Amino acid sequence: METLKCSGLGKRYGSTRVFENLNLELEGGHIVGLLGPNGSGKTTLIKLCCGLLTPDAGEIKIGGEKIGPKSKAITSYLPERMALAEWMTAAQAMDYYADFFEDFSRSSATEMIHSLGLDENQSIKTMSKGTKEKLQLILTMSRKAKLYLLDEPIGGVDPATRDYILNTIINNYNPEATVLISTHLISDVEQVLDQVIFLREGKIILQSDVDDLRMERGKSIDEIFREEFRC
Amino acid sequence: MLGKLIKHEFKATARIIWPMYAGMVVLALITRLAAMPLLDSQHSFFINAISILIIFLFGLCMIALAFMPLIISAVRFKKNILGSEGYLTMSLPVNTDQVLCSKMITSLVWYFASALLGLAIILMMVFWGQDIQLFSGGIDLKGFFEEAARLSAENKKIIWNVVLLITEFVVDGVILINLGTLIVYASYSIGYSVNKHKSLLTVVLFFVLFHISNWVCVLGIFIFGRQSQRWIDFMTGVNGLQSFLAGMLLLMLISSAVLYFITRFFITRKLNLE
Repeated sequence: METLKCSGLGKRYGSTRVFENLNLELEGGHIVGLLGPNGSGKTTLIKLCCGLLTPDAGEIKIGGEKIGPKSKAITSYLPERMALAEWMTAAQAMDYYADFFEDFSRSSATEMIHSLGLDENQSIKTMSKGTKEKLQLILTMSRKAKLYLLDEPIGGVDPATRDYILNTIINNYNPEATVLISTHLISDVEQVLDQVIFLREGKIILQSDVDDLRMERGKSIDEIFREEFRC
Repeated sequence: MLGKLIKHEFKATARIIWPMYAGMVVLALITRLAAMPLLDSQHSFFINAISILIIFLFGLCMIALAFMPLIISAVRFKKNILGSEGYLTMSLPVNTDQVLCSKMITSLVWYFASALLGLAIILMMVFWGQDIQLFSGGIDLKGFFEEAARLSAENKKIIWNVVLLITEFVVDGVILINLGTLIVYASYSIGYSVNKHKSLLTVVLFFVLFHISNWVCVLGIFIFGRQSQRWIDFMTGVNGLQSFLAGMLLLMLISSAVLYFITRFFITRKLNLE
Protein backbone atom coordinates (compact mmCIF):
# COMPACT_ATOMS: atom_id res chain seq x y z
CA MET A 1 0.00 0.00 0.00
CA GLU A 2 1.18 3.54 -0.81
CA THR A 3 2.19 5.75 2.10
CA LEU A 4 0.74 8.77 0.35
CA LYS A 5 -1.82 8.80 -2.42
CA CYS A 6 -3.31 11.94 -3.96
CA SER A 7 -6.07 11.34 -6.49
CA GLY A 8 -7.54 14.06 -8.71
CA LEU A 9 -6.49 16.72 -6.23
CA GLY A 10 -7.80 20.23 -6.81
CA LYS A 11 -7.22 23.37 -4.78
CA ARG A 12 -7.92 27.04 -5.45
CA TYR A 13 -7.20 30.19 -3.43
CA GLY A 14 -10.03 32.44 -4.53
CA SER A 15 -9.66 32.76 -8.29
CA THR A 16 -6.09 31.40 -8.28
CA ARG A 17 -5.82 27.74 -9.18
CA VAL A 18 -3.04 25.91 -7.31
CA PHE A 19 -3.77 22.30 -8.26
CA GLU A 20 -6.04 20.72 -10.81
CA ASN A 21 -6.33 16.97 -11.03
CA LEU A 22 -3.00 16.29 -9.31
CA ASN A 23 -2.17 12.62 -8.88
CA LEU A 24 0.72 11.40 -6.77
CA GLU A 25 1.70 8.11 -5.18
CA LEU A 26 4.62 7.58 -2.81
CA GLU A 27 5.83 4.24 -1.48
CA GLY A 28 7.44 3.79 1.93
CA GLY A 29 11.18 3.64 2.60
CA HIS A 30 12.25 6.65 0.55
CA ILE A 31 13.39 10.20 1.14
CA VAL A 32 11.64 12.28 -1.50
CA GLY A 33 12.50 15.84 -2.47
CA LEU A 34 9.53 18.02 -3.39
CA LEU A 35 11.28 20.58 -5.52
CA GLY A 36 10.02 23.64 -7.27
CA PRO A 37 10.31 27.41 -7.39
CA ASN A 38 8.38 29.71 -5.06
CA GLY A 39 4.64 29.55 -5.69
CA SER A 40 4.75 26.14 -7.35
CA GLY A 41 2.46 24.61 -4.69
CA LYS A 42 4.96 22.76 -2.47
CA THR A 43 3.72 24.18 0.82
CA THR A 44 0.07 23.91 -0.24
CA LEU A 45 0.53 20.21 -1.04
CA ILE A 46 2.12 19.59 2.36
CA LYS A 47 -0.60 21.56 4.14
CA LEU A 48 -3.25 19.53 2.33
CA CYS A 49 -1.53 16.30 3.38
CA CYS A 50 -1.40 17.25 7.05
CA GLY A 51 -4.97 18.55 7.16
CA LEU A 52 -4.28 22.27 7.52
CA LEU A 53 -6.08 22.85 4.22
CA THR A 54 -9.03 21.06 2.69
CA PRO A 55 -8.95 20.16 -1.02
CA ASP A 56 -11.69 21.49 -3.30
CA ALA A 57 -11.62 18.28 -5.34
CA GLY A 58 -10.14 14.79 -5.14
CA GLU A 59 -8.83 13.07 -2.06
CA ILE A 60 -5.66 12.31 -0.15
CA LYS A 61 -4.98 9.08 1.68
CA ILE A 62 -2.11 8.48 4.06
CA GLY A 63 -1.47 4.84 4.95
CA GLY A 64 -4.90 4.11 3.46
CA GLU A 65 -6.63 6.64 5.73
CA LYS A 66 -8.44 9.76 4.55
CA ILE A 67 -7.17 13.01 6.10
CA GLY A 68 -8.41 13.15 9.69
CA PRO A 69 -7.30 12.18 13.19
CA LYS A 70 -6.20 8.70 12.03
CA SER A 71 -4.00 10.02 9.21
CA LYS A 72 -2.61 12.75 11.46
CA ALA A 73 -1.62 10.11 14.02
CA ILE A 74 0.77 8.58 11.48
CA THR A 75 2.01 11.83 9.91
CA SER A 76 4.84 13.83 11.42
CA TYR A 77 4.84 17.40 10.17
CA LEU A 78 7.57 20.01 10.39
CA PRO A 79 6.08 23.40 9.45
CA GLU A 80 8.11 26.09 7.77
CA ARG A 81 7.83 28.28 10.85
CA MET A 82 8.05 27.86 14.62
CA ALA A 83 4.81 26.23 15.76
CA LEU A 84 5.70 25.50 19.38
CA ALA A 85 4.34 27.87 22.02
CA GLU A 86 7.16 30.22 22.99
CA TRP A 87 6.31 30.06 26.71
CA MET A 88 7.00 26.33 26.84
CA THR A 89 10.27 24.77 27.89
CA ALA A 90 11.83 21.98 25.83
CA ALA A 91 10.59 19.48 28.46
CA GLN A 92 7.03 20.86 28.27
CA ALA A 93 7.15 20.62 24.47
CA MET A 94 8.16 16.96 24.82
CA ASP A 95 5.26 16.39 27.25
CA TYR A 96 2.94 17.93 24.68
CA TYR A 97 4.16 15.60 21.91
CA ALA A 98 4.09 12.57 24.22
CA ASP A 99 0.48 13.32 25.17
CA PHE A 100 -0.83 13.60 21.63
CA PHE A 101 1.38 11.32 19.55
CA GLU A 102 1.52 7.67 20.58
CA ASP A 103 4.52 7.09 18.30
CA PHE A 104 6.61 9.78 20.00
CA SER A 105 9.79 8.46 21.58
CA ARG A 106 10.64 10.63 24.53
CA SER A 107 13.93 8.84 25.12
CA SER A 108 15.26 9.58 21.63
CA ALA A 109 14.08 13.21 21.85
CA THR A 110 15.78 13.61 25.23
CA GLU A 111 18.97 12.04 23.88
CA MET A 112 19.06 14.41 20.90
CA ILE A 113 18.31 17.43 23.08
CA HIS A 114 21.15 16.49 25.44
CA SER A 115 23.51 15.88 22.53
CA LEU A 116 22.79 19.44 21.42
CA GLY A 117 23.79 20.64 24.89
CA LEU A 118 20.32 22.06 25.42
CA ASP A 119 18.80 22.46 28.85
CA GLU A 120 15.38 20.78 28.94
CA ASN A 121 14.13 23.47 31.28
CA GLN A 122 15.14 26.36 29.05
CA SER A 123 12.15 28.23 27.71
CA ILE A 124 11.76 28.28 23.93
CA LYS A 125 11.53 32.06 23.75
CA THR A 126 15.07 32.38 25.09
CA MET A 127 16.50 30.06 22.40
CA SER A 128 18.15 31.29 19.22
CA LYS A 129 16.33 30.89 15.90
CA GLY A 130 18.59 27.97 14.90
CA THR A 131 18.09 26.19 18.24
CA LYS A 132 14.33 26.58 17.99
CA GLU A 133 14.40 25.02 14.53
CA LYS A 134 16.59 22.18 15.79
CA LEU A 135 14.22 21.53 18.71
CA GLN A 136 11.21 21.47 16.41
CA LEU A 137 13.00 19.07 14.08
CA ILE A 138 14.03 16.82 17.00
CA LEU A 139 10.40 16.58 18.12
CA THR A 140 9.23 15.84 14.56
CA MET A 141 11.88 13.18 13.94
CA SER A 142 11.40 11.54 17.36
CA ARG A 143 8.12 10.14 16.13
CA LYS A 144 7.98 6.73 14.47
CA ALA A 145 5.58 7.99 11.80
CA LYS A 146 4.67 6.51 8.41
CA LEU A 147 4.97 9.84 6.64
CA TYR A 148 7.24 12.76 7.50
CA LEU A 149 6.31 16.07 5.88
CA LEU A 150 9.19 18.51 6.21
CA ASP A 151 8.43 21.96 4.83
CA GLU A 152 11.60 23.94 4.08
CA PRO A 153 13.58 22.33 6.93
CA ILE A 154 16.85 24.01 5.96
CA GLY A 155 15.56 27.38 4.85
CA GLY A 156 17.05 30.37 6.65
CA VAL A 157 19.63 28.54 8.78
CA ASP A 158 23.44 28.60 8.68
CA PRO A 159 25.39 25.82 6.88
CA ALA A 160 26.41 24.09 10.13
CA THR A 161 22.77 23.94 11.27
CA ARG A 162 21.85 22.69 7.77
CA ASP A 163 24.22 19.75 8.21
CA TYR A 164 22.83 19.04 11.67
CA ILE A 165 19.26 19.05 10.34
CA LEU A 166 20.05 16.75 7.41
CA ASN A 167 21.97 14.33 9.66
CA THR A 168 19.10 14.29 12.13
CA ILE A 169 16.67 13.43 9.34
CA ILE A 170 18.84 10.62 7.95
CA ASN A 171 19.66 9.12 11.34
CA ASN A 172 16.22 9.24 12.90
CA TYR A 173 13.49 8.58 10.37
CA ASN A 174 11.53 5.38 10.46
CA PRO A 175 13.13 3.28 7.64
CA GLU A 176 9.73 2.01 6.49
CA ALA A 177 8.37 5.53 6.24
CA THR A 178 8.36 8.13 3.49
CA VAL A 179 10.08 11.44 4.12
CA LEU A 180 8.83 14.25 1.89
CA ILE A 181 11.14 17.26 1.99
CA SER A 182 10.00 20.47 0.39
CA THR A 183 12.83 22.84 -0.52
CA HIS A 184 14.42 24.95 -3.20
CA LEU A 185 17.92 24.57 -1.69
CA ILE A 186 18.58 21.55 -3.87
CA SER A 187 22.35 21.35 -3.69
CA ASP A 188 22.16 20.97 0.11
CA VAL A 189 19.57 18.20 0.17
CA GLU A 190 20.56 16.37 -2.98
CA GLN A 191 22.90 14.04 -1.07
CA VAL A 192 20.08 12.62 1.09
CA LEU A 193 17.35 12.20 -1.53
CA ASP A 194 16.22 8.88 -3.06
CA GLN A 195 13.56 10.37 -5.31
CA VAL A 196 12.60 13.82 -6.59
CA ILE A 197 9.36 15.43 -7.65
CA PHE A 198 9.57 18.63 -9.70
CA LEU A 199 6.53 20.82 -9.26
CA ARG A 200 5.70 23.72 -11.56
CA GLU A 201 2.53 25.81 -11.20
CA GLY A 202 0.76 22.99 -9.40
CA LYS A 203 1.69 20.29 -11.90
CA ILE A 204 4.16 17.45 -11.46
CA ILE A 205 6.53 17.82 -14.37
CA LEU A 206 8.95 15.13 -13.28
CA GLN A 207 8.98 12.29 -10.73
CA SER A 208 12.00 10.03 -10.73
CA ASP A 209 14.58 8.08 -8.83
CA VAL A 210 17.55 10.39 -8.10
CA ASP A 211 20.26 7.97 -9.29
CA ASP A 212 18.36 7.10 -12.48
CA LEU A 213 17.89 10.79 -13.26
CA ARG A 214 21.55 11.62 -12.67
CA MET A 215 22.62 8.70 -14.91
CA GLU A 216 20.12 9.54 -17.62
CA ARG A 217 20.98 13.24 -17.82
CA GLY A 218 24.60 13.09 -16.68
CA LYS A 219 24.04 16.05 -14.36
CA SER A 220 23.39 16.72 -10.72
CA ILE A 221 19.80 17.26 -9.51
CA ASP A 222 20.69 20.89 -8.83
CA GLU A 223 21.81 21.35 -12.46
CA ILE A 224 18.72 19.58 -13.79
CA PHE A 225 16.53 21.79 -11.60
CA ARG A 226 18.21 24.96 -12.89
CA GLU A 227 17.74 23.72 -16.43
CA GLU A 228 14.06 22.87 -15.96
CA PHE A 229 13.18 26.07 -14.15
CA ARG A 230 15.34 28.55 -16.06
CA CYS A 231 13.64 31.96 -16.08
CA MET B 1 -8.03 13.28 23.43
CA LEU B 2 -10.51 15.94 24.57
CA GLY B 3 -9.21 15.51 28.11
CA LYS B 4 -5.62 16.04 26.94
CA LEU B 5 -6.59 19.13 24.97
CA ILE B 6 -8.36 20.56 28.02
CA LYS B 7 -5.33 19.77 30.19
CA HIS B 8 -2.99 21.69 27.87
CA GLU B 9 -5.53 24.48 27.46
CA PHE B 10 -5.54 24.93 31.25
CA LYS B 11 -1.75 24.84 31.37
CA ALA B 12 -1.52 27.56 28.74
CA THR B 13 -4.13 29.85 30.30
CA ALA B 14 -3.42 29.23 33.99
CA ARG B 15 0.08 30.68 33.74
CA ILE B 16 -1.56 34.04 32.91
CA ILE B 17 -4.71 33.79 35.01
CA TRP B 18 -3.27 32.63 38.35
CA PRO B 19 -0.90 35.63 38.69
CA MET B 20 -3.81 37.90 37.77
CA TYR B 21 -5.99 36.34 40.47
CA ALA B 22 -3.14 36.70 42.97
CA GLY B 23 -2.71 40.36 41.99
CA MET B 24 -6.44 40.92 42.38
CA VAL B 25 -6.43 39.48 45.92
CA VAL B 26 -3.43 41.63 46.89
CA LEU B 27 -5.10 44.74 45.46
CA ALA B 28 -8.32 43.90 47.33
CA LEU B 29 -6.38 43.54 50.59
CA ILE B 30 -4.54 46.83 50.02
CA THR B 31 -7.83 48.54 49.24
CA ARG B 32 -9.64 47.10 52.26
CA LEU B 33 -6.85 47.37 54.82
CA ALA B 34 -5.02 50.52 53.70
CA ALA B 35 -7.03 52.65 51.30
CA MET B 36 -10.53 52.44 52.80
CA PRO B 37 -9.54 53.22 56.42
CA LEU B 38 -7.54 56.20 55.13
CA LEU B 39 -10.60 57.65 53.42
CA ASP B 40 -11.24 60.18 56.13
CA SER B 41 -11.64 63.92 55.88
CA GLN B 42 -9.18 64.37 58.75
CA HIS B 43 -6.34 63.25 56.49
CA SER B 44 -4.62 65.51 54.07
CA PHE B 45 -5.99 65.99 50.57
CA PHE B 46 -3.01 64.06 49.16
CA ILE B 47 -3.65 60.93 51.28
CA ASN B 48 -7.36 61.02 50.51
CA ALA B 49 -6.59 61.40 46.78
CA ILE B 50 -4.30 58.34 46.87
CA SER B 51 -6.95 56.35 48.73
CA ILE B 52 -9.59 57.27 46.17
CA LEU B 53 -7.19 56.39 43.37
CA ILE B 54 -6.54 52.92 44.85
CA ILE B 55 -10.26 52.32 45.34
CA PHE B 56 -10.91 53.48 41.76
CA LEU B 57 -8.17 51.17 40.49
CA PHE B 58 -9.69 48.31 42.46
CA GLY B 59 -13.09 49.02 40.86
CA LEU B 60 -11.52 48.95 37.40
CA CYS B 61 -9.77 45.68 38.18
CA MET B 62 -13.05 44.14 39.34
CA ILE B 63 -14.59 45.07 35.98
CA ALA B 64 -11.51 43.66 34.22
CA LEU B 65 -11.92 40.44 36.24
CA ALA B 66 -15.36 39.97 34.67
CA PHE B 67 -13.99 40.33 31.14
CA MET B 68 -10.64 38.59 31.67
CA PRO B 69 -11.79 35.05 30.75
CA LEU B 70 -13.24 36.33 27.46
CA ILE B 71 -10.09 38.30 26.59
CA ILE B 72 -7.79 35.38 27.44
CA SER B 73 -10.01 32.99 25.49
CA ALA B 74 -9.89 35.34 22.47
CA VAL B 75 -6.09 35.73 22.58
CA ARG B 76 -5.64 32.00 23.04
CA PHE B 77 -7.94 31.20 20.09
CA LYS B 78 -6.06 33.62 17.85
CA LYS B 79 -2.57 32.38 18.80
CA ASN B 80 -3.32 28.68 19.15
CA ILE B 81 -5.46 28.17 16.05
CA LEU B 82 -5.01 31.13 13.72
CA GLY B 83 -1.42 32.02 14.62
CA SER B 84 1.79 30.06 14.11
CA GLU B 85 0.84 27.62 16.91
CA GLY B 86 -2.05 26.62 14.63
CA TYR B 87 0.40 24.63 12.49
CA LEU B 88 0.81 22.23 15.39
CA THR B 89 -2.69 22.45 16.91
CA MET B 90 -4.45 21.74 13.64
CA SER B 91 -2.14 18.85 12.77
CA LEU B 92 -2.76 17.01 16.06
CA PRO B 93 -4.64 13.70 15.73
CA VAL B 94 -7.87 15.23 17.01
CA ASN B 95 -10.92 16.59 15.23
CA THR B 96 -11.91 20.25 14.99
CA ASP B 97 -14.87 19.77 17.35
CA GLN B 98 -12.57 18.52 20.09
CA VAL B 99 -10.26 21.53 19.64
CA LEU B 100 -13.17 23.98 19.82
CA CYS B 101 -14.88 22.20 22.74
CA SER B 102 -11.66 22.15 24.77
CA LYS B 103 -11.37 25.92 24.40
CA MET B 104 -15.02 26.58 25.24
CA ILE B 105 -14.97 24.31 28.31
CA THR B 106 -11.76 25.89 29.62
CA SER B 107 -13.16 29.37 29.08
CA LEU B 108 -16.36 28.48 30.98
CA VAL B 109 -14.35 27.13 33.92
CA TRP B 110 -12.35 30.37 34.10
CA TYR B 111 -15.57 32.39 34.01
CA PHE B 112 -16.84 30.34 36.94
CA ALA B 113 -13.55 30.73 38.83
CA SER B 114 -13.51 34.50 38.20
CA ALA B 115 -17.10 34.81 39.41
CA LEU B 116 -16.24 32.89 42.58
CA LEU B 117 -13.16 35.03 43.17
CA GLY B 118 -15.14 38.23 42.57
CA LEU B 119 -17.81 37.10 45.02
CA ALA B 120 -15.19 36.13 47.62
CA ILE B 121 -13.50 39.53 47.25
CA ILE B 122 -16.81 41.42 47.61
CA LEU B 123 -17.71 39.39 50.72
CA MET B 124 -14.25 40.07 52.14
CA MET B 125 -14.59 43.80 51.48
CA VAL B 126 -18.02 43.93 53.15
CA PHE B 127 -17.52 41.64 56.13
CA TRP B 128 -13.80 42.15 56.96
CA GLY B 129 -13.41 42.78 60.65
CA GLN B 130 -17.12 42.43 61.36
CA ASP B 131 -18.56 39.96 63.79
CA ILE B 132 -20.55 37.72 61.44
CA GLN B 133 -23.21 35.64 63.18
CA LEU B 134 -25.23 34.35 60.28
CA PHE B 135 -25.87 30.95 61.77
CA SER B 136 -25.96 31.54 65.49
CA GLY B 137 -28.73 34.09 65.58
CA GLY B 138 -29.13 35.85 62.25
CA ILE B 139 -30.74 33.05 60.28
CA ASP B 140 -32.71 30.17 61.70
CA LEU B 141 -31.46 27.48 59.32
CA LYS B 142 -33.21 24.67 61.16
CA GLY B 143 -36.53 26.49 60.98
CA PHE B 144 -35.93 27.29 57.32
CA PHE B 145 -35.42 23.65 56.38
CA GLU B 146 -38.37 22.52 58.51
CA GLU B 147 -40.62 25.01 56.78
CA ALA B 148 -39.27 24.02 53.35
CA ALA B 149 -39.91 20.33 54.16
CA ARG B 150 -43.46 21.10 55.34
CA LEU B 151 -44.23 23.12 52.22
CA SER B 152 -42.78 20.52 49.86
CA ALA B 153 -44.70 17.76 51.61
CA GLU B 154 -47.90 19.75 51.10
CA ASN B 155 -47.17 20.46 47.47
CA LYS B 156 -44.35 18.48 45.87
CA LYS B 157 -44.74 20.52 42.71
CA ILE B 158 -43.25 23.56 44.46
CA ILE B 159 -39.90 21.97 45.17
CA TRP B 160 -39.57 20.63 41.64
CA ASN B 161 -40.48 23.99 40.18
CA VAL B 162 -37.89 25.76 42.29
CA VAL B 163 -35.24 23.18 41.32
CA LEU B 164 -36.23 23.48 37.66
CA LEU B 165 -36.15 27.27 37.81
CA ILE B 166 -32.67 27.33 39.37
CA THR B 167 -31.45 24.79 36.80
CA GLU B 168 -32.87 26.92 33.98
CA PHE B 169 -31.14 30.02 35.35
CA VAL B 170 -27.80 28.20 35.55
CA VAL B 171 -28.10 26.61 32.09
CA ASP B 172 -29.23 29.91 30.53
CA GLY B 173 -26.28 31.66 32.20
CA VAL B 174 -23.78 29.09 30.94
CA ILE B 175 -25.15 29.21 27.38
CA LEU B 176 -25.20 33.02 27.43
CA ILE B 177 -21.55 33.18 28.53
CA ASN B 178 -20.59 30.62 25.89
CA LEU B 179 -22.49 32.62 23.29
CA GLY B 180 -20.16 35.55 24.01
CA THR B 181 -17.14 33.29 23.51
CA LEU B 182 -18.56 31.96 20.24
CA ILE B 183 -19.15 35.50 18.93
CA VAL B 184 -15.41 36.13 19.44
CA TYR B 185 -14.43 32.80 17.83
CA ALA B 186 -16.68 33.32 14.80
CA SER B 187 -15.39 36.90 14.32
CA TYR B 188 -11.77 35.74 14.48
CA SER B 189 -12.26 32.74 12.22
CA ILE B 190 -13.94 34.82 9.49
CA GLY B 191 -11.65 37.84 9.95
CA TYR B 192 -8.47 35.76 9.75
CA SER B 193 -9.60 33.87 6.65
CA VAL B 194 -8.72 36.87 4.47
CA ASN B 195 -5.23 38.09 3.62
CA LYS B 196 -5.50 41.80 4.46
CA HIS B 197 -6.90 43.91 7.33
CA LYS B 198 -7.52 40.78 9.43
CA SER B 199 -7.67 42.56 12.79
CA LEU B 200 -9.90 45.37 11.52
CA LEU B 201 -12.31 42.92 9.93
CA THR B 202 -12.37 40.85 13.13
CA VAL B 203 -13.31 43.91 15.24
CA VAL B 204 -16.03 44.96 12.77
CA LEU B 205 -17.40 41.41 12.67
CA PHE B 206 -17.38 41.21 16.45
CA PHE B 207 -19.60 44.29 16.74
CA VAL B 208 -21.88 43.12 13.92
CA LEU B 209 -22.32 39.62 15.42
CA PHE B 210 -22.67 41.09 18.93
CA HIS B 211 -25.50 43.38 17.79
CA ILE B 212 -27.22 40.62 15.84
CA SER B 213 -27.09 38.39 18.95
CA ASN B 214 -28.42 41.27 21.07
CA TRP B 215 -31.33 41.81 18.72
CA VAL B 216 -32.11 38.10 18.72
CA CYS B 217 -32.19 38.21 22.54
CA VAL B 218 -34.40 41.33 22.56
CA LEU B 219 -36.71 39.60 20.11
CA GLY B 220 -36.80 36.59 22.45
CA ILE B 221 -37.60 38.77 25.46
CA PHE B 222 -40.42 40.39 23.49
CA ILE B 223 -41.90 37.10 22.25
CA PHE B 224 -41.47 34.92 25.34
CA GLY B 225 -41.99 37.74 27.86
CA ARG B 226 -45.38 38.67 26.43
CA GLN B 227 -46.56 35.09 26.49
CA SER B 228 -45.62 34.71 30.15
CA GLN B 229 -48.84 35.76 31.89
CA ARG B 230 -47.96 34.88 35.45
CA TRP B 231 -44.27 35.33 36.04
CA ILE B 232 -43.80 34.10 39.56
CA ASP B 233 -46.43 32.06 41.24
CA PHE B 234 -44.83 29.43 43.42
CA MET B 235 -48.11 27.81 44.42
CA THR B 236 -49.22 27.19 40.85
CA GLY B 237 -45.76 26.54 39.53
CA VAL B 238 -43.59 29.45 38.26
CA ASN B 239 -44.79 28.63 34.76
CA GLY B 240 -44.40 32.06 33.21
CA LEU B 241 -40.76 32.54 34.20
CA GLN B 242 -39.94 28.93 33.35
CA SER B 243 -41.35 29.13 29.86
CA PHE B 244 -39.61 32.48 29.34
CA LEU B 245 -36.23 30.99 30.35
CA ALA B 246 -36.87 27.88 28.25
CA GLY B 247 -37.72 30.04 25.22
CA MET B 248 -34.60 32.16 25.71
CA LEU B 249 -32.53 28.99 26.10
CA LEU B 250 -33.82 27.71 22.78
CA LEU B 251 -32.96 30.98 21.04
CA MET B 252 -29.48 31.10 22.56
CA LEU B 253 -28.86 27.47 21.60
CA ILE B 254 -29.84 28.20 18.00
CA SER B 255 -27.59 31.31 17.95
CA SER B 256 -24.73 29.30 19.50
CA ALA B 257 -25.13 26.51 16.95
CA VAL B 258 -25.02 29.00 14.06
CA LEU B 259 -21.88 30.68 15.45
CA TYR B 260 -20.25 27.32 16.21
CA PHE B 261 -20.78 26.05 12.66
CA ILE B 262 -19.50 29.34 11.19
CA THR B 263 -16.34 28.97 13.30
CA ARG B 264 -15.99 25.30 12.45
CA PHE B 265 -16.47 25.91 8.73
CA PHE B 266 -13.90 28.69 8.58
CA ILE B 267 -11.19 26.92 10.56
CA THR B 268 -11.58 23.66 8.63
CA ARG B 269 -12.30 24.97 5.12
CA LYS B 270 -10.80 28.47 5.11
CA LEU B 271 -7.88 28.26 7.53
CA ASN B 272 -5.31 30.83 6.46
CA LEU B 273 -2.11 30.39 8.43
CA GLU B 274 0.06 32.62 6.27
